[in-house]
Amino acid sequence: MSASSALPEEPHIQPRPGRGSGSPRRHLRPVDAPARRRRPQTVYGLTAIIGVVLIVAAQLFFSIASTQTTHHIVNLTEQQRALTIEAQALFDQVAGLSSPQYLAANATSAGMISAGSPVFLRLSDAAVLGTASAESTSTIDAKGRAAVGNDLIKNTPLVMDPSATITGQTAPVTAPEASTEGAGGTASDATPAEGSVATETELPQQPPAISEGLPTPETR
Amino acid sequence: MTPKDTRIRRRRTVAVFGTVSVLMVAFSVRLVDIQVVNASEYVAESKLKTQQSKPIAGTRGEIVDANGAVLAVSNVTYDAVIDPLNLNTVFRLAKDGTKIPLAEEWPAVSEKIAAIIGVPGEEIRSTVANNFADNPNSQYALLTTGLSTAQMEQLKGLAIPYLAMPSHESRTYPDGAVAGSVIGFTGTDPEKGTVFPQAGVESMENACLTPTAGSQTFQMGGNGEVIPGSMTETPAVNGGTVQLTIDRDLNWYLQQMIAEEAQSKGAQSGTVTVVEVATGKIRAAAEWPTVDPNNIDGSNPNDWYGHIFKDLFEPGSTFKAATAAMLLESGAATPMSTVSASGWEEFPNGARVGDSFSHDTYNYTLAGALIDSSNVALSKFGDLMTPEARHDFLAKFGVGSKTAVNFDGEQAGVLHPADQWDNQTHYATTFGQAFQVTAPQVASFYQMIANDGVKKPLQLVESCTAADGTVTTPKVPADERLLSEQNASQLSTMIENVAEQGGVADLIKIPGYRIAAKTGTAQTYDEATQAYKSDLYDVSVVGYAPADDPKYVVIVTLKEPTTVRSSTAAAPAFQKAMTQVLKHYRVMPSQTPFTDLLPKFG
Repeated sequence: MSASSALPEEPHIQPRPGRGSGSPRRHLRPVDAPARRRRPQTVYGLTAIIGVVLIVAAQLFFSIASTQTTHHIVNLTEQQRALTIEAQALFDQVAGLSSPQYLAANATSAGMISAGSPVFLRLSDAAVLGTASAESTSTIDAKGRAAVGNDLIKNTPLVMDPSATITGQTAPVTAPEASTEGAGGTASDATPAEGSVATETELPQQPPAISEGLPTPETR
Repeated sequence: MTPKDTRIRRRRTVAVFGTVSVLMVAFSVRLVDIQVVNASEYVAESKLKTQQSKPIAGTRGEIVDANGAVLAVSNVTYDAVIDPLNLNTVFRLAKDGTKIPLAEEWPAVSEKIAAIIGVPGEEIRSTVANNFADNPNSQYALLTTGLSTAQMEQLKGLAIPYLAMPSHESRTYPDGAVAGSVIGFTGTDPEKGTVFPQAGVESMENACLTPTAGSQTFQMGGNGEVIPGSMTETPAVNGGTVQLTIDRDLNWYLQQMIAEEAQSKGAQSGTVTVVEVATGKIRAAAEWPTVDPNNIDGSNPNDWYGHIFKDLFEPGSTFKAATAAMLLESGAATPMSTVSASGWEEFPNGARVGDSFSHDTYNYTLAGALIDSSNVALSKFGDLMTPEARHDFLAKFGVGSKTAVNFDGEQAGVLHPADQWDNQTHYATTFGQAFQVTAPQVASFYQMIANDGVKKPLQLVESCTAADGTVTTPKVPADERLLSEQNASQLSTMIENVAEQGGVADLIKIPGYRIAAKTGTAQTYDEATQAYKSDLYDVSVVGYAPADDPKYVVIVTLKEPTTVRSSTAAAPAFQKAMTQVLKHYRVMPSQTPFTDLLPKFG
């Protein structure tokens, strides 16, 4: 008997629900070709890397530079210290040389005197105000009778008369420097030379006699 | 993924995040606790352990004269210090075990040091040996102080490891004894090594001159190195510059001149004070003997603190002008009022007064009494006023009170109240005895006359310039009119007549200039015998020039001259001093001649 299956054939495909039916409709569409994956731009990466390298390099450079400057500063500070000490030593040498007693003693050695009352010449009418007088005696003796002392230059010889000091006495002989580095040493308190007799003061030079008005130079 | 998976994943995420946040909160709390809440505590604790500070010393200010010339400046001196423990410890062992010193032996080294510092080698060795004997652990033996920078450099050149040269501040006075008693001097504190003032302007203006120390603070690491970036510095502020009204060069000349004059006249001491009429500023304060602040041991300790502001003397005839001034101002007399006076008189109250020269009875005018310096005439003139009035005028003229300078150790003088005047004092006060003044007080009185009756207080310090440039001028009292202009003018004419007609007229004449001056010969009181010395006088001459337009007052004093015993002794010194002042300041000669000759008798 050919009793074939009497079952009805089941459709393989589900019946497609028609439009307007209740179940949600899934939207399917064919897949596009995937978007082409672009290569990441090397520019940005390079920039980032180069930037980092630059930053590190700059930091290295600055720290080296500041160290150099620090060395430079230390050098300069050392120089400044040495120069300050040198300036101090030089100041000690010249302290007192511009004091009035030293200048006056030198001036007296050169024959200058301090005398006479002030006289003025008025240029507008060539009038002489005051009473002029020719003086030959000094009102003070700044070298032979020097009474205003200065301990800083008590042994410094006068410029105009190296054999005397402001006290009018013979300048002591400077002791020979015993140390090997005797650079710019001041004369130590060595014993003054024997015979501290006052050197004979030279008489101040007499001014030339004026008999016929002021001497005038020859002009052509 | 199943919802269960998602939930599990979410829970894990939450858990992780929660743990992380808890940790973060914990750390934040701790962070806040350290950085904010307890910050100061921790910082203080760290500072305690690492912070060090070093003081930076400032420099003491300079003293300069009226023109900026430096009179006192700070300097550096060095000590020489030996470490006795470490002498001769540098050596090396030779193969046979003997010690070979690498440096020179101590005796040789000590001789080298001796040559530089000027102390004998013997003394150096004994100092070090004694130091070692007293204290075997001592590492400090002081050889000498006060070495100059050049000597320090030489010692440094010797390269001795156990020799140190610590530095100290010191003071240098480039002009030596010029205005030495005014400038004063300083000493060195042996403990701190700093300079402290002992006299004069150094002491008076110490507040201006003293520097403010700064400090350097830094943090030290474990090995003793300074942690970079941790150093902060408060800079030191140097002392200010004090400018005096004194003119250095003029002061030198006057010191030299008065020294020569005092010595030629056989006087014990001499002073010259110059006051500028228009301003009351002291342009020179010269004295002999005086002190060189560089070396105070070179002078007598009596002279260390100066004489001008401290020495009291009875002014004598120079204050006859004060009697004349008070007579004019109170209207009791005029320049032409007369009294009859002889050379010696006994007064009704028993006092006896005599003139310096014997003469018959003259009818002296007030002017004549000044010109001839008659004590008797002035005594009679003085009776035209009550003693109380005379006393008050003397006090007004500055007797018995310090000048506005208020110098270090200045004396105010002595003026007894009128009710304490005995019969002799009653008259002696009319001719400048029985009260005591200082030379600046006399100069100040004559400055008032020369300035048309307006007293300008004396001034010695011009200004103080701080390190940042701020200038402060001292507080000077206000001007005072003590005489009317007319009275001052009349009095000035009388004083000029004294210079023209008086006893020393020829000695004080300065060609081309009109001078007004008065001499004074005052008896000096001897404390030992409680009586005036006989034949020894404190002489002075005070005056101003040019008389037609006065610019400068000069007072010259000599203490007990012996070759010439009257005020004539001081006259040449006055002439030289006044000439130099006029020359120094380029004062124009008098344009109008002197015409107002007053009669001596009336």
